[in-house]
Amino acid sequence: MLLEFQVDEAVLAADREVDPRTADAAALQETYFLMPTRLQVHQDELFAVPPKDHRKNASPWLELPILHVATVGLQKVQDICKQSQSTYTLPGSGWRLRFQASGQDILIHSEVNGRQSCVHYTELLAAFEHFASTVKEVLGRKVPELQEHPYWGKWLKEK
Amino acid sequence: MGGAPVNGIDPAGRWLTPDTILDIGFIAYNIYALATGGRKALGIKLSALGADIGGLLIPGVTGLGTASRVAREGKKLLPFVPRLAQGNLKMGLEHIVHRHWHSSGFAHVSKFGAEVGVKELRGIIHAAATRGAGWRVEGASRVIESNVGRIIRTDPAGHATSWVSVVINQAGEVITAYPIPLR
Repeated sequence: MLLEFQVDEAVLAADREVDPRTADAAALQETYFLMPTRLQVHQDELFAVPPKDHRKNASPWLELPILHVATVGLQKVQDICKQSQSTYTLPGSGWRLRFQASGQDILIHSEVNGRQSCVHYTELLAAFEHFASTVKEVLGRKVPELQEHPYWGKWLKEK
Repeated sequence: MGGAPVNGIDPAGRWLTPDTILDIGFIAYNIYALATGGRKALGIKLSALGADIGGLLIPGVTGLGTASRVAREGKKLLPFVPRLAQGNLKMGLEHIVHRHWHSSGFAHVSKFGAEVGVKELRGIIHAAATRGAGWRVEGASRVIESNVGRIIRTDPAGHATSWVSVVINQAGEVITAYPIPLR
């Protein structure tokens, strides 16, 4: 499976115009660093929004705040262990990813397009952990002042 | 007590002051409420009775039981309603207008209808806070989802919806709010 994002330099530049060091922690999580994000499980593109014109192909990329996916998204995947199910509500749209465990297999249902796909829990967890570490690396390098933020600075420095 | 309320001496014998009469009345009411109200809010009633007895013993002080009752019941009576500030492009009203207003040019983004102005938006946020099932903690944010009972316009797929999501920070300020798909 694949969970990845594209770095949008224009978005980064615009977001840095309002000093991230003093920005609201919740705003940084919800409305900053909106990047095209893709979730592919066994060739199923779970973030592909169906186009209104059915003759066009759907883009697999959905714009999401990457700090949200890296933290809240990862937490929701970790919650599957405790409750055997979990729901991750995508910020900005209200579409949900529903995770349902059956042993070590996790059925993922996407409300973005109604598709569902199954993946082993360790693979799902590894994909979200890798996404989180990539977000830390990219933001730590491209937005170094974020390391001085009282809330997100600590998260960026966590291993 | 002769200008010295804490020394316990009452040379003038004027112990039946107006505040004492009020305290006796409050105590009588609390005993009546305890006797007739069953176990409902027993803790609140006992606290109020204790506070009124305390008020009786302290000259010049009255109404402690009522204050106690308001303090303990207030959380239930007054729903928390988040504050919608002007904000900027990243939070508050300015962000919502920029990204989720009917005139916003963003694709695959939920939008409020043209009939929703700032006053209506405040009403939607108030309705969400008072009708929603409860605030969900998500990292640095608190989120509530609610059916506000009327169409507020479209989810990201363009379908009409009456559901809204409100996101606040830890200070209770609105970060964003937007229509979401029907639940």
